[in-house]
Amino acid sequence: MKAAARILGALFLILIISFFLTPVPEILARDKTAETFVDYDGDGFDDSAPDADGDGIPTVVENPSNAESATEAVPDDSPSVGMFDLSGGNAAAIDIEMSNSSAFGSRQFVARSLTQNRCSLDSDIGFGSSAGIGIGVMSGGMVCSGGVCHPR
Amino acid sequence: MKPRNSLIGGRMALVLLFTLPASNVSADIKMDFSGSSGYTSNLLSDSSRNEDSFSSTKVSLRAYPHSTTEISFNNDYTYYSKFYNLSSFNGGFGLRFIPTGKKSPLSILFSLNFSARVYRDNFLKFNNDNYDALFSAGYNWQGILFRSGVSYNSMKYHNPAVPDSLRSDSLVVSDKNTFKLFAGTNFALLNSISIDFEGGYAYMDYTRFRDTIGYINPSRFKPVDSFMTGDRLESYYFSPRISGQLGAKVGLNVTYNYRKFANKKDKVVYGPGTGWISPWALHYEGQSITASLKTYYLPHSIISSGIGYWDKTFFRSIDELFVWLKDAHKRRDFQTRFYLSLQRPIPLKSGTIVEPFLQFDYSDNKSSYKLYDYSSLSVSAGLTIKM
Repeated sequence: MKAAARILGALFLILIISFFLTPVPEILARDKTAETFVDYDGDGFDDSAPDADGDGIPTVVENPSNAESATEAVPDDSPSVGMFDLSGGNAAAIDIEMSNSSAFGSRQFVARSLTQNRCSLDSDIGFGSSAGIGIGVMSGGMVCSGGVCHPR
Repeated sequence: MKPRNSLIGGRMALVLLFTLPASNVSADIKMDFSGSSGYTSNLLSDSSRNEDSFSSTKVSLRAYPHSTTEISFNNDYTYYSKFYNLSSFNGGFGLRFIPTGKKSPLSILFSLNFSARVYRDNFLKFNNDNYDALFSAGYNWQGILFRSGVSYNSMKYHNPAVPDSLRSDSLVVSDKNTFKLFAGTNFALLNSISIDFEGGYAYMDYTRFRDTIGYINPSRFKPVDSFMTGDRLESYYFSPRISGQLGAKVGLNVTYNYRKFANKKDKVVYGPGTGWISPWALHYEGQSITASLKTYYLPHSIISSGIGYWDKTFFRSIDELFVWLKDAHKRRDFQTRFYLSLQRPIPLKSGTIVEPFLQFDYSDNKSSYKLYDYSSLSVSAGLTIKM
């Protein structure tokens, strides 16, 4: 118990110190004035980093030479800008420019912080691999009730 | 009577499925498939240390009748080799509605879900239905996000976790309704660190033994639920998180979580343990701290790992009848977990992504209730296809 607490404490200290000692990546430094660093999903990476092939790995990591020409992380479906944009986007433009799934993906990306919370009374949401299914996965592992476990 | 819930849910799913294509000619459909197999050294997560191997498949279908709306159908099946009677199917459907656009500082999300879990013959009485609703909104003010939401869950067991001969039909002691309210904020520091604070309140209706009960001796004329009373469990939580990049290829987060039950003291639930599927086995108060690392050092791959420590205090529980209430089990666990996973996403020209994965999970649990002194090691591998 104490050993685990010490390990975690050490990790936390390393994190804090590293933030101040690690140089900001070149691409981030260049974009500093343009985009604010945003990490709503808590994976440590900038959510807005472009991912051209949609494989979950930012383009700047996979192919740094193409980073500057990379497009936005998520395509824009809504040309209107306002305090409360409930217009549903420009439906006609959406039909022409992108599929419903792409347009919804764009909206979901903006609202991604709303789908995640840590208010569960029971399981350990947010800890564990997000890959596939099986033991120890699906956003925090198996659901184990009364000793019987199953994937979320 | 209870299985009707699943029947109704199933019919609703079919209606939705068949009316979907007619709702909008431009509706498009996405599908995810996952399959995995693995081994666990301790399937039941207790001192009995029963090892088993398992296989899981999951199919998820998502349709988009409009750019603001997603309708999803999810099915998964898990098969255990030795404990095959614990194998179960979970099916459900959901609706997600996001009326706000990308450039709006205000974002709104509505979500409705239904799912039904069905076990094999020996565990049919633990079949259950879940109804979920979520409303959440966020506002981005000059780079600072404020968010808040409410969620509701209703869990209905087809049969309560009480022997049929000892319960009356009038009270279903295992069903529960849960309401949650949360609020949080997220902002960046030094343009490379993200700070996230979240807190909230939740309550859950539940059934417990009356405080005045001495000896629990149910009979045909005095069912076990006559020893019980309804109550409402209230809970508060607070959870700060810090995350950021260490160089270009490493992301890290540290999350703390503190949860306190406001009115649980000495309450006793009927919570059969191993071999049963108690609705109370998961609920705990306490604190945790976790650290997770994500790296892209291996070309075209994602390596994730994490370590966490939990201090959990559970409900006092009666696992068998004909005992004194004062002898109810007290349980406090100190748990350490570690996981490591490797994903290798392969984007195809068609837009489909094929992703093999491998994962490892280890838990060490020290408990004041010796039944729950255990360690557990799990390894699994599989494939996800996102179309």
